[in-house]
Amino acid sequence: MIQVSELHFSTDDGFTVFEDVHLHINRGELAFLIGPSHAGKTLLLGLLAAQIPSQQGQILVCGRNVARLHQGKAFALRRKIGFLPQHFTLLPKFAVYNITFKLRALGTSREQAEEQALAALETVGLIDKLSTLATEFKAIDQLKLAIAISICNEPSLLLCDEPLTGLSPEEKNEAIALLERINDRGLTILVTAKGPLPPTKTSHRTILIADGRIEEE
Amino acid sequence: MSVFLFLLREFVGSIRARTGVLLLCFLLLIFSFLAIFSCFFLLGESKSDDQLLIPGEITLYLSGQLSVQQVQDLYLNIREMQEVKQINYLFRQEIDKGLAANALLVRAVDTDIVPALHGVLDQLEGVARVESRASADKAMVSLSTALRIGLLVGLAITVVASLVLARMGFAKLLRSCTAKMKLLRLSGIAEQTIRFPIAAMGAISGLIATTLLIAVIYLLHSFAAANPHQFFDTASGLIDPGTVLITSLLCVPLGLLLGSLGGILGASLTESCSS
Repeated sequence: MIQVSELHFSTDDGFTVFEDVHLHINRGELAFLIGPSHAGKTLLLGLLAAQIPSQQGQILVCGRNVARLHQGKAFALRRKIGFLPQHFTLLPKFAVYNITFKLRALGTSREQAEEQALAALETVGLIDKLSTLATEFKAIDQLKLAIAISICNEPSLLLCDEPLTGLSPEEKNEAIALLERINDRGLTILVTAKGPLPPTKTSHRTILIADGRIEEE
Repeated sequence: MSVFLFLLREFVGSIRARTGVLLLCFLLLIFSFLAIFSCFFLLGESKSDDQLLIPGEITLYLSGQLSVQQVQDLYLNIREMQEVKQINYLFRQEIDKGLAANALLVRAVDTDIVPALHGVLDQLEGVARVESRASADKAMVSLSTALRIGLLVGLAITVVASLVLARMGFAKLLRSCTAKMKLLRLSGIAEQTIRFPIAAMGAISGLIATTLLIAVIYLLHSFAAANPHQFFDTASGLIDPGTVLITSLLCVPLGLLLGSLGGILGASLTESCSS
């Protein structure tokens, strides 16, 4: 699903963020990318989601070479990727509206959008809160809603940028359990995190990122 | 198309009081621009008519309510005047001014007495309007020069002001839609898809302003056609259906253009105002 080879990336002021980075994520895999602040986790997700133009190296996502995609194809690829940014913003409306808004904007009919929104809310466990304002949700429920928005159009890949930041240990476990449930349905998920993950029942693939390099734990 | 309509509805639904006032002002400024533009065609006297007159000639436009006998009496009365050298009866088809009545063409014995004779003839009963070469020239110069400069300045001001207001209004609208825009970009919606409804909102504003102006022009036209004598000297274009139609048709692309320009200006702000 994701194949990164010989990736190099430097900032405008010459700081090297990535140096000969290689990464391989299989289809249907749930992987955690762990690293300190400014290690390049958000940048890597941005490169994978075709939101930041790559400089050197090859990035294959869903069978597409991201580096060579022209603008139109890049937008098409983004539609196949559920992207959950670190500081996601929810619309100050009902939970269900947040999802239908995205689906309608993607060209889905009203009836189908409502159907898919309910399914997504059910997946994340918010079906009983569909008429609650998104701004009134607790942090964990806001994250669940953001995940529901990201997966509502059934993407092939879900990229989550530090979704566990700011959550209590119990909430972190709940969030990881939710990601596992979604992963069990066959969705490939790559999650970034700052610190070590809380202990869970099942072990996950953990990739460490620091000093411009990536290593398997 | 459904995405365009959906986004258009979302953006329109995001208009709040202050944004609404700004966009309404934008619409009214387009209306004002078109109104000023229309004045070039609808206000003032027709220059070609004045050029038909030669020095010493005076044209009397007769009231349409005069009977044949009354016209005959008026003709004889004027012919008897000492200052009059010659008098001719003109059918309305000969005048070609879109009028419902006929006219008398009077030639004075001397060009110097034309102003005095003009005043005398203007007082006669059954005469709707009097035109002479000297008076027409004077009116055109004083009216049109000042008026045209004023109208041109007005056009420039309304164009600039409408674009400034469009920028302010759309910037405010986009700032209120920041969360929606972020979600749209994350979902893989192309920037062009987001910009198109904003530009369309400008074009729609232009069309609404144009429609309003055409309605006002036709209202004034119907009033002017019913009372032509009141509009001869100030807004002769309003009386002529052809001029009104052409002016209205010219306003459509102009209103659409100015509205679209405002919309495109707003659409260019999508990245700066909502990121």
